[in-house]
Parts: sequence; structure tokens; C-alpha cells
Amino acid sequence: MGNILSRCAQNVRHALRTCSKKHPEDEAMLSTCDSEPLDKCQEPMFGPAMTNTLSRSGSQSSLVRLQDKMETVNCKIVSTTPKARLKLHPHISNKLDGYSSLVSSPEADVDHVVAKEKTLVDRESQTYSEELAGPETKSPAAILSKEYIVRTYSIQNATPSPATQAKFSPVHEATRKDSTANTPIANLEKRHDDVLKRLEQLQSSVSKLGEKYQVSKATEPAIQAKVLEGTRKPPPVTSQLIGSRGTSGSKPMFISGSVVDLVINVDPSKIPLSLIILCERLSEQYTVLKSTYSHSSVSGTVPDRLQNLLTSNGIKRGDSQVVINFVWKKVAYGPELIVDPTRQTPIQGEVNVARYLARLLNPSWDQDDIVRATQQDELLDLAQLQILEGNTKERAAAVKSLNSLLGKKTWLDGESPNIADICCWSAVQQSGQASGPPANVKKWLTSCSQHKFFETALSLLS
Amino acid sequence: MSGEEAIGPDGVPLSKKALKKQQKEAEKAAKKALHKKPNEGEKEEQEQEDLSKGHYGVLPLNQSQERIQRRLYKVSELVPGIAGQKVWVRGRLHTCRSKGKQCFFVIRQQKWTIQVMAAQSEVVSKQMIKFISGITAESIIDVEGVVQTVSQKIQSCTQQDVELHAHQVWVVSAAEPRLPLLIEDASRPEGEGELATVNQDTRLDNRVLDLRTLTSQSIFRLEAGVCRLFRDYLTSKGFVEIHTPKIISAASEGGANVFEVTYFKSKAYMAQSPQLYKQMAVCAEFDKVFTVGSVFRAEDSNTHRHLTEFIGLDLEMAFNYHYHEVLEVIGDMFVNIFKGLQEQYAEEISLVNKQFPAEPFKFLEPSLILNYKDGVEMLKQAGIEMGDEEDLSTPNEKLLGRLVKAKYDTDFFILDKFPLAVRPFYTMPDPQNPKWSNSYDMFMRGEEILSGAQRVHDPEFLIKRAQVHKIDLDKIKGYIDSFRYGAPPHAGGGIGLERVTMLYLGLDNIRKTSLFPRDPKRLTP
Repeated sequence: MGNILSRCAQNVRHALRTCSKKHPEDEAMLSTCDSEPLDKCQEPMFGPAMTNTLSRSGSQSSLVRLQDKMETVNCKIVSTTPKARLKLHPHISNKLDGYSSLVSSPEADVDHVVAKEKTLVDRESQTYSEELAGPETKSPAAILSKEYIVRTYSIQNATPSPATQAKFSPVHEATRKDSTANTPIANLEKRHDDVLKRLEQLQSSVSKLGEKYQVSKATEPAIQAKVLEGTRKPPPVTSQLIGSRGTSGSKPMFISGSVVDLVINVDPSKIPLSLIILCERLSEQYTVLKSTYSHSSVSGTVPDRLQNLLTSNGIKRGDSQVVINFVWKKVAYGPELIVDPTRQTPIQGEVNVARYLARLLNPSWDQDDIVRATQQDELLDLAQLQILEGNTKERAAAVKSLNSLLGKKTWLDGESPNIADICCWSAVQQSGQASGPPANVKKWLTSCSQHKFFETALSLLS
Repeated sequence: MSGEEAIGPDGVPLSKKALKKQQKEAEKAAKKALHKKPNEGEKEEQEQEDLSKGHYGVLPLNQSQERIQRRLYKVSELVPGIAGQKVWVRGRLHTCRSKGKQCFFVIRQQKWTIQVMAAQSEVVSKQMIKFISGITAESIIDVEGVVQTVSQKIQSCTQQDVELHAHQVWVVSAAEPRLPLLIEDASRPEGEGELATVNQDTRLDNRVLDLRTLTSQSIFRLEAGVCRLFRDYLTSKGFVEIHTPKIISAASEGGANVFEVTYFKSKAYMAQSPQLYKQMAVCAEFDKVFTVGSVFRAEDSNTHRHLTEFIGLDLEMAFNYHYHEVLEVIGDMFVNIFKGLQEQYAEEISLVNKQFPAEPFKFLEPSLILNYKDGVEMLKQAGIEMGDEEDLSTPNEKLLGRLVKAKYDTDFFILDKFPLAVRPFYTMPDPQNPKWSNSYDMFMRGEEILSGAQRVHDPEFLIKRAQVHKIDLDKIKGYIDSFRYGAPPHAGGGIGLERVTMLYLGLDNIRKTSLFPRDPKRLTP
């Protein structure tokens, strides 16, 4: 009996696994069922090399933008439900529209970038739509497979009693009918039949799935190509089984009241001012439990004022909506953000982390006004690639372009300082461009230093 | 005359005169022996023309005959700075290889080693080289030699920049020619090529030799460090060190897992925890106490992390308003221990890692405190099916350790607010929700090292809790009564010294960090 079950289970797993070559979600479901989740935790969803290329690949802003998009999805992962992903699709097409509207702008080089961008986004949206077909058809199978596992266990648990063990031994097989009077055994038998029935159902739905996705040897190369492409798309959503964390809407994270627990690793020698500002803004908007730690890799070198930078008095973990763990640590590629290490690789780079935090502040940040969001993105890239990571020449050029962009305006974009101002200000301060800047930038810096947002960060500079 | 009277051969105390006489005779005999030796040496010289006579040999048994005013250098003191000086060194013969007219050997002293060379010359004879190569490994020898810098670093020794050119070699205490294990083999990382390693039981059976390896030397120095840092930190926080009895009349926690011993005409038990006594000390107005001492567990578990006798580092502290005051002290104490080890024992850690490679221990300051609920939530997200109030199984404990490490990158964390149902009866329940309790566990590399809680300090409530757990009230009467005369709210916890050392170093077996381990299958040496 046990053998049959395990063989069936193997078949099912095998079938699902073949399917999942095309659709990693299945794999994820499987591994949630498997008894060894450990392996899953170890594997990052993208290879580390991938992240590195993405976060380090300097001047190609399109790649950074791509990462940005992955981050969007990372945002959603916390809330991941099929619906959340459904939402993404229109958003991407929106963005596409936004880009196409930009295409009409006269600058030639922008044209070039946008065109490249567009193909990328096109490709992505393709993968998304494919994914969209997935959940509805697959979910019954997932539920089944989960139930099936549970049931197997319960039967295994039942076997130790000698009576039942005898029941399953082949010698007694013939006497089965006679012993049906024995109610617990009859029950067990019924359950056994039930399980087999369910298994059959499962098998048929799996084979249907197989047909649907044409799993056969002939299409192998095609699948591989898809998988390759798949590495560019957001990480497979494994939390489907975990269930109902938020459903949809503009603030998916806080609907169910579950906590968003962020770990931000920061190098004490390069304080990312923008993140400190954004963390403070977050605690104005939500109940935030903030704590600062210093990691053993920088032990003893963190000054006291940094050690106690972010603290929140009297907020209990249970009451908070967001938990921010600020960790002073040696980090190789700028600040790192970790939300759920089993489903993501760390988000690296000050501006990328800032983007994540900005979306927590305003989840519809890049959905309401797509053109404006794109312009802000541009500024964020400028801050990261040219000011923070650039050489002296690039920095000077970037500050100049900031100057011309500012013109007579008080803020870079809009009536009040937003993420673009915060990140650019942070970058300018960190890269030492704050001394002797052009007139407009100087004026902007002054208004920044007078605004309440920048108070704490400013105090760190002195 | 003083208390000790010398007794003559006939059993009668000797008079002063007789005593003097005896002394004189002894002196004479010693002188005779001294004279005889050079004579013998001369004979040898005449026969074999030994140039180095009197520069090597086996020293007579040391009965403290004479106190020689001679400075013995430590191996660690032999540095390029004193090159050219003639020095005396005492140490163990680690290895020796001779090639006709030359002989290289390594002197080991605790964790330091230096290469010594003896080459045939006007001071070193062929016979002397032959003698040196015949000395058994692990013998203690005295060497006089000149410190010389070397052109190429000596990779196999701790003193890489200098070697010693021997002029005199004396054997102080010879080792048996056949050793049950070779120090070299015992120091070798496992799975390295085809060379021999020593298995655990052989090591433990010959612990005296096994402890001589650099690795063991480092482990126990670090262990001493853990203990010292524990004492230092708590003493600086106003704790008082106490010593609790190890023979007790009744089992403090219900009665399981205790060793029974005969106590005159009745029975007694070996203490399985100093808990009752440290709690009584707190009630006795000591306020904050800690104790370091043996703890006995009669658990028949043969795992990598269980011993039947181990050193418990226990602390108990009265607090003002909230048990988190205590939690923070303990957390801070650990951070201090880890930092102290990182700073003061870097060399020992790297020596141990050479044989047993492990990732460096990472931690956060202040310590990360997670709620049990959050921990369970993390496990559930990783696909583990478990109830909210279920206790952590060992594999789940490990998995949680890995999840926390992945997210927070720390090997040490505190889990707070355990379900009341899985804790002992004296644990204080949570004030808001009786499902939870004011108790905590601490983990290193995913293994529990400390378990503690706020204790119930009200006798009536304690009785109620004991009844819930169906504990025989008669057996714990003494425990309950100690809270009847005013008891401050208090909390505490206990750590296993061996476990902390093992996990800090990332070792795989607790027997490596126990000097003479005791487990269900081992009572010797």
C-alpha cells in the first residue's frame, strides 16, 4: 500500500516537474509539499551572478530599469496572490504606453534607449501573460497535491497499530471482506479508496496540464529558451499556498495586518542618507518598529550615534505594521535590502532600496502617473549611476544637468520634495558635490536643508 | 620539632643527631655519583673521540636536587629580534628527522613550535646526532642553541622566521617509544588525502595525548575565555558568584533525568540544575547571582550535543518591572562574550579552523530578539507544517536558525514568548494571553544553548501551576516554601559551557570541547 502510494506520488511529482520546467510555480508548489524545504531555501531565485550583473552593470540604464521592475515584483511577493500579479500586467502595458509617448520626444538618444526598453518590456509582458494563464488551471492540482500529501501521512501514522499492520500484509488480503465488520479498519479502507480516487483525479489533471503545455521531448529546446527568458522575469511565486496575505488594491501589504519585516544592511562608512529619510517618512505613515544593530563584521567600529540612529520607543512588535531592522554591516555593493530570503536575492544599491521604500510609502507610485514616475526613475538612475558610482567627470556633469533641470523650480519634481529630491540630495551629499555647486543646485540644497524631511540626515553630516 | 617527625628504619623517631648523619650520607652518595659520571664520559671519549661529551644525554630524575639559575626561553619568545643569542629552551620533541650528518627536529611548547637543527661540527659530534635521532617523540627535552634567522619561511612551525642551532640536548623526561596516537595524525584535518587521522574514541581514550594538539590547546584556551568573559561581564554588572550544592535530596524539576547516589543510609541525587539554589539566593537578597559548576543529566541520549556531566553557567536576577530587563542583560552578556572572543582569541580560532574549518561566528549588537510566533511564521512560510503552540523539533530549530541567518545574517538570536504549554510549571504565563509565557530560548548556529524564563515567585500561584502540570506537591514543597517570605520578581537562565564553545567554533561534536567528556557510554578517562 505504502509502495503504491509512494510510486504514485513519484509519478505525480515527475509529471509536475516536467511541467514546471516551463512554469516554475509548479516546482515551487511541489517543494512546499516535499518534506525537504531546506534545499529550497538555499537556492536563490536568481543566480547571484544575475543580480550582480543587474546591479553592477553601470551605464546601461535599461538593465537597471529591469531590475527596478523585478523589484516591483519583489514588492508584490510579500503579498503575492494571483490577483496581485494580474494587476501587474496592465501596469506594464501602461508603462509601455508611457514609453511610447516619450518616443515622440525629439531627443534622438532617448529614442534609442526607449526602443531598447520597449523590446524588453514587450518580452516581459509576454512572459507575464503566459503566467496569467497559469494559476486558474493549476491551482486545483496544487490543492490536490497538498491534500494528497497530508493524507498519505495520516495513513502512515495509522499503520503502527498491530491490527492495521496485519491488514496491509498480503497474507491477510484475502480475509479483508470478513474483517469489514471491524469499523476502524473499514474506515481506513474507505479512506484508502478515497485517496486512490483523488490520486486518479490528480493524475488526470496533471496529464491535462501536460497536454496543455505540450510537455514532450520535441519541444525541449523551446522550453529551455523560455527558461532562459524566465530568469529575467520576476521570481517564481512560491507563497501561493501560504495564502491570503492581502488580496489586491493599492496597499496590499497592510490589509491582512501582517507585518512587513525589512532588513537593511548598511555600511557605516557610506551612510545612505536617503534611506534614513525614507525610513523616517515610513514611520510617520505607519506604525513602524525600528531597530538598529551592528553586525559582527563591523563590530567596534560603529560610533554610538549611528548605533542608536533608528529607535522607536514603546512600539511592540505585535502592534507594528512595518519592522525595519537597520544593520550596520560590511556590504560589498552598497546598501542591501532583504525582505524574505527564501524568495528573493538581496536588493542592492541605495537607489534600488529607496525605490522599494518609496513604494511602501505610496504603493501606486509608478501606476498613477506613469510619465512622471518615469521621469523620477530617470533622476534616481542619475543619482545612482552618475553621482554615487560615477567618476569626477560624470559627477560634475550630473550636477550640471541637475542644475539645468531645476531651473527656477524649488524641487526637482512637483511642489514638495519627493523620492527624486531625497535620493539626489543624498547622492550629492555623499559624493562631496555639495561644496561649490551651481546656483540652482545651491538654492535647492538650501531649501532641502530647511525642510523637515532632511533634519536627521543633515545631523549625520556634521 | 615540627609536626612531621622523621622515622628511622626501626620505626622509632630519629634524634637530631641521627638525622644529620643520614643527611650527610646522602650528600656523600650524591657527590660520588656526580664524580662517577664524568669518568664514564671520559672513557667514552677515549674510545670514540666524542667531541660533544657532556653536551647531551639523559638528565637524572629530577628530585629538585639543585636550583639552576638559568633562563629558559619560551618558544614564543624566539623571534628574529634575538637572533645570534644563545638560549635554553624546554619543550617536547614534536618530530625529528636525521640525515647522517644533520638532524632537524621540531620542539613544541603548547601551541608554539620551532625548528631546531643539529649539524656535525666542532661542538656537535656524530654520536650526539645519533643520540638526538634516537629520542622518542613527545619526550621533554632541554636544548641550548643559537637563534638564527632563516632565508625561507618555515611553513610547518609557528616561529616561521627563526630556527635554533643546537649545541646541547638533554632529555628531561622520555616518552614511551610506542605512542597510541601520533600528535601529527591527531592534528590533521579529516578527509585530507590519504594520510592517517585519528578517530574520536581513540582520541578520547588517550585524551592526554589528544589534548596536546594545537587544536585542542586552542579549544580549551577559548573555553577558558568563555568562562572568564562570562564572569567578568556579570561581575561588572553587580552579580555575585555563588556555589550551589551538587548533592541534593530531591530532584528539583519533578524527578526525571537525575542520577541517584547512596547517601549513607538513604538516597540522594546529583544536581541536574542549580536553579532552585540560585532562585533561593535571589530570594535571600543577593539580587543578582551567577554560578559556574558541574551539572548532571541522566539522559541516555547519544548525540553530538549531549553529555551526562557538563559545566553549567547559570545566572538569576531580580528585576524591577519587566523580565526583558533580564533578557537584555543576557543578550548583552553574549554579545560581550562573542566580541571578547573575536578580539582576544583570534589566533586560537584560526588554529582550530585549520583543522576543523567553519564559518566565522556572526552576531548582531544588540542581540536580535524574535517572538516565538514570528519564528513559527517563518517556518510555516518555508513550508513546515506545525501548530502555533507546538514546541520546536530539533530539525525545525535548525531550519529556523538557517532562515534567521539568511535574513539577518546572525548566528545568535533570542526567541521570546514561548507557548506556556511547552515550558516547565514554574514559568510565568504571559499577562495578556495565557497561551504564551514569559520565557525565552537563545540559539547559536541553530542550536539551543540557553533556556530561561521569568519564574513564578508567588507560592500560591506556583501551587496552581504545579497542579495544572500534575506535579506531586509534596516533592516540590521545599521549592514552593522558599517563596513564602517575600520573593522579588526574577528571571534567569543557564548555558552549557561546552555547547557554547562548540557552536562558537562551529565544531561538530561536544566531546571536542569537554576536557574529559562523560556520556552514557564513557566514564573514563
